[in-house]
Amino acid sequence: MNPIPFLYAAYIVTWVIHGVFILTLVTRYRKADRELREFQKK
Amino acid sequence: MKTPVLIAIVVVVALLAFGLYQALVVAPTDQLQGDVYRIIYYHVPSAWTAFLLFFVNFCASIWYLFRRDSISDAIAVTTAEIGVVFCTIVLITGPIWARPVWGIWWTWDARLTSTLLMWLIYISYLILRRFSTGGQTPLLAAALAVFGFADVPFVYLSIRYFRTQHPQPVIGGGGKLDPGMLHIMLYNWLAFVALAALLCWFRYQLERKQKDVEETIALESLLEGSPR
Repeated sequence: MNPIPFLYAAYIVTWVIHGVFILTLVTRYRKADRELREFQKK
Repeated sequence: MKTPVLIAIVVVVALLAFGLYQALVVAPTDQLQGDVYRIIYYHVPSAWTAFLLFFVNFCASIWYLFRRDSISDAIAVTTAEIGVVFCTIVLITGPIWARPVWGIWWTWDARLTSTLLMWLIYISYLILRRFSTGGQTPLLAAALAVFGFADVPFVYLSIRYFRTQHPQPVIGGGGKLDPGMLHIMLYNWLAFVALAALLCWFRYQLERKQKDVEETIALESLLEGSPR
């Protein structure tokens, strides 16, 4: 069994998880910010 | 985005990039495992960072139980969420490493099972925070976090007191690691802690923003005279 794909898979999975989490943070922050501005307009 | 935040992002990215270079290029190849052992440079620092974040969550939860202040509550939820992210990485990179080295993806030994249990405890903590709408939610979550943290030292000690498939700890245990490898692993842990601190800062800002939205909705309901 060639173990190198496992090494790359572990590193790629780590950065995919961090990337997805950062994306959810940005999305949630923008949503909260938009809601707050809408309430302030009212 | 403010300049100090941009500087912090640049520093963290530089630390992580240098850590990646050291892990994949500079670190020597292991005699027994070959290059696949390099997973250690992400697997172990992620586990240590998760432990650290769960410890901060534990301290913040105790503080909340005594003081009931919103800052410690926000710190608790922030560290629990980022800790779950790092713990998820541990639970995924572990089996990816185990398959070529042990010949199996998973085994129900004390270390692996207690780590999965720890992940489930903090997932249940986040589900409680997300879906419980009562005013007692932060209090219940703080109590869950304090009892849930009991699993964290068990995870660390499980490989000392139980016969497990998992190797011994490389620091403060029977596991041996070449000083050159240990140095790179500690460096990567530093980079991961810096990343965790940055993520916590962003998540804390989000928590404050969400609190502002909740307060504005409550204020609007009061002004309209019809609670939602």
